[in-house]
Amino acid sequence: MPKRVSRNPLMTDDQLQELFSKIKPVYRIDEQWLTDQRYRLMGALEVAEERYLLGRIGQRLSLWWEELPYVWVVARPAMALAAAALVGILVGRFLLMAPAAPGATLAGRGESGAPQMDLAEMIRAGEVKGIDVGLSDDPDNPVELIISTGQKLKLTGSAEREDILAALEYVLVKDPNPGQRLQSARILGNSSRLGEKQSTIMALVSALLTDDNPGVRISVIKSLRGVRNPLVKDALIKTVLEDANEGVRRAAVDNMRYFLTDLSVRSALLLVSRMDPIETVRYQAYQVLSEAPEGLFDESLDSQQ
Amino acid sequence: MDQKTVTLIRASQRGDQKAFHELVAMYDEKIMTLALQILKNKEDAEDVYQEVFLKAWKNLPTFEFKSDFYTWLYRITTNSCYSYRSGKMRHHLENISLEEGYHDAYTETGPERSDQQNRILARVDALPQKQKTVFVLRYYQGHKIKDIANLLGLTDGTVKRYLHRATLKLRKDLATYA
Repeated sequence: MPKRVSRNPLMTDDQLQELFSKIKPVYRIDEQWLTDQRYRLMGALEVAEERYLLGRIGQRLSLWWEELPYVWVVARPAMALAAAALVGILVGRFLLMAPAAPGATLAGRGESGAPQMDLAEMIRAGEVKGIDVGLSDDPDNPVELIISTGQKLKLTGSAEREDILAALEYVLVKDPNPGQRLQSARILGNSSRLGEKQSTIMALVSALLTDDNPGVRISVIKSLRGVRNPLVKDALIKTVLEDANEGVRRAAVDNMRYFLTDLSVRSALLLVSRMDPIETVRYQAYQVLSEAPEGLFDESLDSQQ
Repeated sequence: MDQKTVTLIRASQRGDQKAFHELVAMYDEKIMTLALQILKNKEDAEDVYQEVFLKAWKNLPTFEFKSDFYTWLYRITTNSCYSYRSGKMRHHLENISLEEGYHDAYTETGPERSDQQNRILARVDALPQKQKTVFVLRYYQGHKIKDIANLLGLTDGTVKRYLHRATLKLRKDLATYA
């Protein structure tokens, strides 16, 4: 059988295969990294499922809406009156929630001429009922917030702005939707002001210690990577020792490499490397601990004596 | 497809997340490797990994066992890599992200390569996205042209054309190597 020749004028197909089988890059994927991705996926799936459920509720409502005229015809007058009252309330709410006039919107970019309202103040005063966090296509104003205050207000800007940071902190700590919290954590982690802003660090730390979604907690830990702050350090120690989720514990162990000069951190890592029920977490703690500069252990022994 | 995979897929189609995570664990290393080979960037590969399996979860009910599950995932991965690169998924914020001190989560291993071989690989990395994907699938992963065409939803002729163009772009380095 004649050998198949590639149309490539330089090398046959077989020659190319042989060449690249010798020199192609071979990736050896770190098992822990992969496990972390699996945990992230678990969190993301939970969020996706919640959205799916909301979608189904929406479908049911729309079916009900389609059948409403038939119900209307056969219903007794009292029911018709009740339905009218309900519709009235719904319409009233809809009108109240309608988008505000342009002059009343939050001035996202500052140059629009509209009066800039103090979002942080509105949040503190409890005037904000909800915030949807999204990303816009504008590279200068990548964060897009839809703020519900009775009206719906749109705000775009960068994650360095004071009011946007305040809104993201609020969402991270208060929003019932884990997808929104996860998004906020990621954006806050990308803010160049993260290291300097105590309230942002506090919000992230609070989410790390209290959020019930492991995906959100892992995102928070990722956002706090490299932030050398005593609050962060203490939260990480608590997390590696107490968090129920092994992925979260391992991510926290990984972040502790930034605090290796601290005795309490090294002690916690030592404990985790011996006592954690999951082998990969113990190994990770051992690995991070092994990065501590030589001599630190002697110093800590001296200080204990 | 073995019986275990079929059972896991069917359970996942009924909404069993645990079964789906078992499926993920069976295939995700290969998917991550493919994403890394195409995107050459850890953070991008992470995002595409999430995207691929979320899409898989969402679309699993429509999977009819007409193709291999791996082939199906492959197609989602390569398409997601395209979308990612073309900026559909990329958000501006991600450009700001700097993973300070983030240790390598994967290592590139293999035999020692000469400067010339490294140059060829660098040229492969610089190929246009579609040509690179076809090239990677053919010469890094050893897929047949027909399979690549199936995976990417292209005709055999288009795949061959991409390969031809890619090798023409590598002309100088390949010529001196040959």
